[in-house]
Amino acid sequence: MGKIGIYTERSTIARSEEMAALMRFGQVARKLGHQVDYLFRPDLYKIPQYDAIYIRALTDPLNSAYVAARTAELHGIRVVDDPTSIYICCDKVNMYRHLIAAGVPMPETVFLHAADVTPKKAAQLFRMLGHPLVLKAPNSSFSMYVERVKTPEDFVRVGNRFLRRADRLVVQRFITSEFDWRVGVLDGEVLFVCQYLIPKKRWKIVTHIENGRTIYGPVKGIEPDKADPLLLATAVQAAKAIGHGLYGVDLKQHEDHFVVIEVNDNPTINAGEEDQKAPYLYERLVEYLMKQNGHN
Amino acid sequence: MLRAAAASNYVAYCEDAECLVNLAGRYDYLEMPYYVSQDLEHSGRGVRPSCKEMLDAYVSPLFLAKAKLAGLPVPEYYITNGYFEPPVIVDTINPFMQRSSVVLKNGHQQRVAKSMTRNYTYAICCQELPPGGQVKYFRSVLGWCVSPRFRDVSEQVWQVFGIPLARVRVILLEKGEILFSNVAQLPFERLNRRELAYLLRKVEWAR
Repeated sequence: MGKIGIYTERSTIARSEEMAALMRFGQVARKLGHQVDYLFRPDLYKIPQYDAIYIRALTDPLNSAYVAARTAELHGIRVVDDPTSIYICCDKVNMYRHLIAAGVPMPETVFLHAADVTPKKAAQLFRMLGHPLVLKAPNSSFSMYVERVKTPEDFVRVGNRFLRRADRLVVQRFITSEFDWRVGVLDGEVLFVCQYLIPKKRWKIVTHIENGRTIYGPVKGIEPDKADPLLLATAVQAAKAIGHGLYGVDLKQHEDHFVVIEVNDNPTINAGEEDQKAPYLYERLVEYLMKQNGHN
Repeated sequence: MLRAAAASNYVAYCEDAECLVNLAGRYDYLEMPYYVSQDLEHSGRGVRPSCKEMLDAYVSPLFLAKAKLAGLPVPEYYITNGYFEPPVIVDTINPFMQRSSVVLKNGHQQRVAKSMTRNYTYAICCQELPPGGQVKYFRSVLGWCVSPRFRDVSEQVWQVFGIPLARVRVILLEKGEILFSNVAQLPFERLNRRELAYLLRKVEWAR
């Protein structure tokens, strides 16, 4: 029997699907003979008492989830997500660099400095990458700070706004699609496969609108053995370019191949969504966490 | 001198450390000096500080945990959503602000907590100030300090954290013991004449 700490925050368990997924994880871990405790911010000092830490909180290298991950690593405790995966994936410049170095298929991508955010550079990028362009701030999540720009003026306006968040920007060729594939990968193997459908009249799976509302598209689970092998192979290649933890790889189908849009650490796992066609998802997560502790 | 530093992106070779050093002195996440180290790491060239070292040093509870594991004395500390009891040093843990506050007496907790947690959204790290403890700061330049009193601790900061330029916060106890508390920015442009002279003896600007 081992001890697993689930580090979470109240915002992470606000939706019933999120809470239900955590409950399910806890039930499975207990059924497999392990003790499970929920850890919140004031409990971070308890991390050295655990055999493994499972992080279910918004990750960013400057917030407490990273503190939990790095504290676990400093004490030699297995942790999902590991801090290296967090700081690579939370900075899209770093994440895309890893994908490029590993030869992962992805939309053409250019990194920009502040001095590049000019109408002249915009015109050059439109010629090179086509219309529209997708601009991304490096530290964006849940599709925030990802915008399409259609004119050099838009490019400069959005680019300057994003530069308040970081000193570099990402520009990509826009690839149209009706849905995104999300492939969950754990330790280099496929964990779940979903289609994230794009809501009508939108171009992203999650859209934050001005009145504060967030529009999510529906999630459709696919059994991994019924998914295109090329989709799975591309997702695994992308995940391995980052590390050996848990990742959510977003892909789009482009003609006869798949391109990786991004790799996310701490991917969403909601009950009835990501787990709908992956019945052993929680068992595999628990086994992975306890694998190196001799509790398998 | 400043031009040479800027022209090299503040990157120099340090013979003592046998590696490149990023001497910007400002190592905030996703700012240009962070990317300078990231560029070098991706090109396969070792640099101090690495991106991970920057985070370990600038995120207060990680600084304390890493110092403690390295055997350096640190104060008692805890992470909280807002509740704390003075006297403490409070550091933010959030992506939108990096601030510290020393709270010595009761009566100010709620105001400080509300402000530093951004209305109780983010966490804070509180270090307990022992009775008679004084908060002091010194400047560390490649493990050296102008003041001889802090040279040993400066060397330890450099060895453990790999931060070449830092403003170091310590707690000085009544019996003279020093507790490590935090490191913060020491921009290259703010080095004084003696610090700059020391630095120039130790590094060669990269081309």
